[in-house]
Amino acid sequence: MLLWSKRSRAIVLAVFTLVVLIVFIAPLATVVLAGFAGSWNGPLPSGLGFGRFGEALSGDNLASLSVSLQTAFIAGGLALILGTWAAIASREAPDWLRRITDAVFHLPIAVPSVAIGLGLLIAFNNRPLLLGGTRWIVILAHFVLVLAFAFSAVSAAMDRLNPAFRQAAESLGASPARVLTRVTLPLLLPALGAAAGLAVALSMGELGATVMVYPATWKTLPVTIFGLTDRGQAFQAAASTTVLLLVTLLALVLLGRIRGRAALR
Amino acid sequence: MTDLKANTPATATLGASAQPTAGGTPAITFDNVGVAYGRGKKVTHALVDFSLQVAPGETVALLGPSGSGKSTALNALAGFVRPTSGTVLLAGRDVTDLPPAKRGIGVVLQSYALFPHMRVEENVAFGLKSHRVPRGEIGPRVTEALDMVGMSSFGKRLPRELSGGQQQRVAIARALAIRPGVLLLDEPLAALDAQLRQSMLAELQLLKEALPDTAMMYVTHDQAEALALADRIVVMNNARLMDVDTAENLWKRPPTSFTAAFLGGANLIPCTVSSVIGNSALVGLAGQNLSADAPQTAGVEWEAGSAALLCIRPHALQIGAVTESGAIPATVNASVWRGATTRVVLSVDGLPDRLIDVDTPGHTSLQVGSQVGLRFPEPAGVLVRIPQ
Amino acid sequence: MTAVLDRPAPAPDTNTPRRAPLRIGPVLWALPPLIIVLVAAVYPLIRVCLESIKLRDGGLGLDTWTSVLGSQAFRSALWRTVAIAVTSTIGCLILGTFLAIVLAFVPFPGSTLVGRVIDTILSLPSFLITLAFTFLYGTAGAVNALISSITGAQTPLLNFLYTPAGVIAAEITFFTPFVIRPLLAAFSLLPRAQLDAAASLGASPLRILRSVIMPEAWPALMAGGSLVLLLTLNEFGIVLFTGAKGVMTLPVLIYTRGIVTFDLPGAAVIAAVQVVLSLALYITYRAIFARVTAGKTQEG
Repeated sequence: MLLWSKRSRAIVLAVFTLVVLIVFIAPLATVVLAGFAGSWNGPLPSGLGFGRFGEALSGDNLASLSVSLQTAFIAGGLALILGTWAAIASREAPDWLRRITDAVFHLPIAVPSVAIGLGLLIAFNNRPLLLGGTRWIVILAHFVLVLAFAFSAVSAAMDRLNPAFRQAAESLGASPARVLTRVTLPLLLPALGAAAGLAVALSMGELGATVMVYPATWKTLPVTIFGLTDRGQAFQAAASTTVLLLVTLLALVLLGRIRGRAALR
Repeated sequence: MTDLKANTPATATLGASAQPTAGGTPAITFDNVGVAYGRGKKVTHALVDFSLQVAPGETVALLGPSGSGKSTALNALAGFVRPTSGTVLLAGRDVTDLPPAKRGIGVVLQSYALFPHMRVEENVAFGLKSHRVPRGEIGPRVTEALDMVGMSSFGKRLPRELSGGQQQRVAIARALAIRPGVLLLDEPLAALDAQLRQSMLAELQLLKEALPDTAMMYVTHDQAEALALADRIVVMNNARLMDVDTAENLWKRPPTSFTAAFLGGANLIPCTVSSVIGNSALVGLAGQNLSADAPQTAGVEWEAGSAALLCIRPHALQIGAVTESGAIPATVNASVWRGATTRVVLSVDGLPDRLIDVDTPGHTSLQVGSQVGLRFPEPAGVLVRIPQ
Repeated sequence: MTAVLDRPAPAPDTNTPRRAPLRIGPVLWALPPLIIVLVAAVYPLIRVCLESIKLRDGGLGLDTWTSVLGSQAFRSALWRTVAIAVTSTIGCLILGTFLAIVLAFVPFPGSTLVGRVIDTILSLPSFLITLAFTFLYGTAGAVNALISSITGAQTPLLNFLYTPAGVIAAEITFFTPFVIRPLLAAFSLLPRAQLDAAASLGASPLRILRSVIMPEAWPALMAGGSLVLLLTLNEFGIVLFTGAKGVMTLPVLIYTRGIVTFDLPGAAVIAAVQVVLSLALYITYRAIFARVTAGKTQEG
């Protein structure tokens, strides 16, 4: 609709494909390839094999993967619950409260993650709330960072929800609790699934705040990967990164499938 | 209160027709209800000074163009909007501050709003469960409601598997299942195509007969719906109530020019009242003296010599040869065949600045620019006051 | 009952307007999440500010502030951070606009898939790009090896990985989708009929681009651009993986000060500066965003 001749379209699409390949596909493919490689001295890797992946799925690396998954699901789950609660409740609240909630919940997007990490480190390192040195400070950091996205996603979904459903339910005599559990939440289910997927993905890749607060007993996979690159083990880092990518994508796909009967095909 | 003149039996004054004819507590009462949005200079009034009473079992249509306030009145009654002034009563009980869940009204929204994640029977049962109807009773009542709208075999379907008309019937069943004293319908036929509209109109008429004790209020912009379904019609414009009366009265003796034009389409021709005798008057227009109905509105009589509007429906006028006696010469401006009738637009000598619409039956082929004769019926029409 | 008038009555009611009754319930329901976030996010940030004014001897003062703000390391890191962020944003805008225009207006089979892939990249960690670059563009990387094998040169041609250029390249790769998204949304609102009409009137694709498409794109570009500026200012993973040898930005400086040298007050000062900077930018972004959406609803 913009380009009408076959020739101009072909040229533009060729440039487009080249750009996408170089900018987006190449890095992804490289990391995956490097994970398979024994060494990479020329234009192409050599010594391809699964050895590094075996290493990536055992010992320390496997433990880190498990730590990342646990953190992602706990922090993501809590963030989803609290974000949904806040999104729904602030809609009923008076305007001033809704605006404050909106501003406060979006705060973690506005500030660098290291600042959040530093803040948590300083704030929760003493009594009465001693979380430093335990897994909970890491989970708390991820929770704070992911909460903003969960709140934002659920709020956007609530905006798109047709108010007629709620009106119909109320006219039929439903109490607010019944409207929430039987009508609003089931209709929000697809959006909640997508928000959960996003939350888990963001948590799996989080580095800035984690690196400020993590105890030696609770190393997430990105932290481990950083350690590997720091020590010069780039290939192993690539293999572990590929594992991280695959697990993240898997979580995204699985959680995105939660649609319930409310979704229109 | 306004008087009822002894020799005008057919004309109900407007004050009286704001009340239902039956006795007892009205099912619905609007008392000076107003709804306004915004503050200070930016106030928009969605509804102003709306007062109305509806008797139990009566059907009332709120008719008006968009922005007339009819949907706002419905929302205020249902509780979806809180009035900024006035009170709303249901069977004599003040419900103005009551949330919608506690009002016991059945509402059928324009978009139907069937819960997409529930099957048809679950949708219909929703209101019963919310009202804590004993579990054993729910099944039979769901069946009863679905039977009433002819959707008994669709119980297990999901809403997205139903057509528009079927969805609407389920929405009606859902509202009726809780056996409300009042049923509200918001533009029930707007979303249906022409053919479906006809059959649904017939079904709604049957529904009305099947529920003699339920007061019904329709919101519509389509005057054909209002005429077909309502005992009384409330004509609204610009957030206000303009006229309320039975369909018959509003049609034959429209109190305002707005109602005359909105309900049925009309020619409103300026004329001068020559003389008044009882309910009739002689008026002069286009050099002719015609007799017209002159109903008294708000108890004020027509004065000889005053200006007025003659309201005459397009299908009541006749077109013939210009040489016929008593025919007013006119030129054809346009002629559009519409199937059952032809709409002919005439410009009449003696009536400058005004085009007259005439509906002739069948397909009339008249050349644009040709001379024809326009004949008024006897009486020529009904007098309507010129709006201030 | 009051008589019903047939003429519009003069100015409205003499009834006193009723006030909506105050409902405590909704406020109570909305408070707990707010309180939790205030404790978990706002309180730590306040503690950071407090920490930044702590002195070594235990008192309070602005000594840490003056020493940090005056230090060369901070100044050059601040300059470096802003320069990288601005350059990356410009790069993202240019690249993103081109890609969005092609995706929206030059349809090809699989365009939705490409859009989906670009969207997924947003969920991946940013350091992945830098890691990939090491293999691709590093001095011992694939591209250099390819060029050497073709040209026969001994010294590697591409040597930008550990320079700001490497960081900028990585950031452009990672953050361009943040520009593509709002652009695609804005373009989807543009009626195709407008483009067809313009073409039928004889306009070349470039002219259509300039006078029909770009005016629609400016608000989305501004919104996307300010978001990317904010995100690149705060980016940590990419810079960390690049290594502190060539590139030091403020977030990495916070990390090294706080964790490596354990100078918490110093780190707190830098963190406070960065929080103020990014909050100001975020508020600007929201203001622009509000104007964009308000404009759209007015036209609709």
